Amino acid sequence: MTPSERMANIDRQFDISMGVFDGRMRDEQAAIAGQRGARGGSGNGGNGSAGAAAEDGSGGNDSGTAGSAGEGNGGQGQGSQGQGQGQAGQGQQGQGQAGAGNASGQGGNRSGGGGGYGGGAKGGSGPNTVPADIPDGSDDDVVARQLREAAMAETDPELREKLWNEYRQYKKGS
Amino acid sequence: MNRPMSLLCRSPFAVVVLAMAALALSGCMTRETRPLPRLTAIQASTEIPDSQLLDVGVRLLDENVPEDEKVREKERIFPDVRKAEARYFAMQLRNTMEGTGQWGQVRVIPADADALDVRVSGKILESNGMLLRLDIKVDDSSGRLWFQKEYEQPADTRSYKDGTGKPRDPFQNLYVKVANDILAHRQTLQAADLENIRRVSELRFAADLAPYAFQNYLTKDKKKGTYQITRLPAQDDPMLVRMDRIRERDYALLDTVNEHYSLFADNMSESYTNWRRYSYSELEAEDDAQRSAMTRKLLGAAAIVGGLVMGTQSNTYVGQAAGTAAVFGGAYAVKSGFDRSAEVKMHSESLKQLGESFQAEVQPMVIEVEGRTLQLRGTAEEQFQEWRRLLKELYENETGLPVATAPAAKVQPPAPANAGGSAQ
Repeated sequence: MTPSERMANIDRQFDISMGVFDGRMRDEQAAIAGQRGARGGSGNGGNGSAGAAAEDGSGGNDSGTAGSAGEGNGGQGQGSQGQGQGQAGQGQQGQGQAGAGNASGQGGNRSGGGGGYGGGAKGGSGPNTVPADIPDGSDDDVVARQLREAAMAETDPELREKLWNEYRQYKKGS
Repeated sequence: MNRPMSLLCRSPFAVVVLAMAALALSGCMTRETRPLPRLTAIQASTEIPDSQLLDVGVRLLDENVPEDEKVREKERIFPDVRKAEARYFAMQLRNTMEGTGQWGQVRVIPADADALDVRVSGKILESNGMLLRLDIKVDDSSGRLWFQKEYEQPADTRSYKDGTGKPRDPFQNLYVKVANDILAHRQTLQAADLENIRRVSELRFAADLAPYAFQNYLTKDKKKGTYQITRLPAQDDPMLVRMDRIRERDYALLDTVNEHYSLFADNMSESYTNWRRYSYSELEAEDDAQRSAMTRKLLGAAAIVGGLVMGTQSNTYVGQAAGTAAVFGGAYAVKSGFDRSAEVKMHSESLKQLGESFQAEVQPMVIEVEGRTLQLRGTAEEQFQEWRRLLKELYENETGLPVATAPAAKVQPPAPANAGGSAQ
């Protein structure tokens, strides 16, 4: 393996690992938002950090605030002068948007408001179903294991399929 | 004979009359409380450049619970209530600062989290629904102490009377004062200072995760505990770019932890307000009973003394009769003083029960939020370890230099903003 290939491989591992992390954070925020919604109150502290989207793994821009996912009034996401109103996902149909975090607000403040982490799970098949072509995982290394766990725990079918694809590609490369 | 005694002997009748009048008055004394002015935090009126916008971490406050159970009982400190308050007050302060638009992100962070631009720490000195006293310390990532100050605030009783769903916090003025003081300090800093604080935060975070790559950008004055930037990495340094991505995740973790605290504060808010309201009312009644008991005892004693003196000195029947009446009146007053003391004990017991009851209510909430945030940070720690390993591999690959497994870091690394990513 050439150094550049090796670098690319490590960067890929980074992307995967961050994707897993982002998924976990998103799930956690969705769970919090769900609790808040169940309580019937409105939240005030939605501060989800932007750029933590599993889909793009880009890291986003600087830290736009994100509203809470799910129900509730999302975060106020009030940046310095930015009045970014955290956009809450909608419980059942959350789109799992990446935090916009586009430093918008007014005048490009670092902490303009952004979108929520994403809403609750879409409906669909249960999260624990493992596609037929996925091996048993006995030889998984730490990244593959995290990826597998994230895919198994993911309730959004679209995102779950993406994670399984990542897993397949990672297993091919490793 | 000293002067007061001679006065007493000269005009015992006046003393008796005064004592009886005071006794009568003490029975109908009421506390008069003026409404407090409602302070508001200073809002941003001009745009703050991105490079000067500081992120703030409000650490969970120090609960300051005495070890000694007797002290706790005497000071009416309930450990789980304090634990809840340590989170609740931090969240109120955070909300106040966040609402001003003067800052970047304002988050409630665990007590050991570190690498944010401005850190607010505090200790609960007293909190009972009637009075809140906090010791607040503010410093920045470069290790510079902004200030340390004690704040004291009596409750705004209008909040206790407000029957709406979410009344203003009775101690909101205190949070406002803290927020305004922090702002006042920030306004004394030059733009370059603010930019420097932000750069130090970034480099401290980077030096913690990859000391072999970033430790030389900072030096620490061990004596003062301050950090100085010695040089800056190139903006397009690939390691720095990766570091920024990790930092985004660190923020995401902190935001999630903050959300847990926010939900916790919301959940406890109603019952906490009720507890403070009842506690205030009992404390007020206890205080009144205490003062009334003391007044009655003192004046009763004075009436007895005055009556005795008058009885012995008076040559008239009326005078002697008045003296006897004063003695009986005084004795009655002393007795009623003791009755009021019993009332004090009743209020005291009532306060204890209130505290225990609220503690039982809030305890599971505290356990839950502690558990969930710990679990979250523990999970994140695994991920941060993974990123540390990958960063090391990348660095070795890029530079061709092996990294010592346990580098002797020149900069004492702080925890990343979250403790999950730290190896403090």
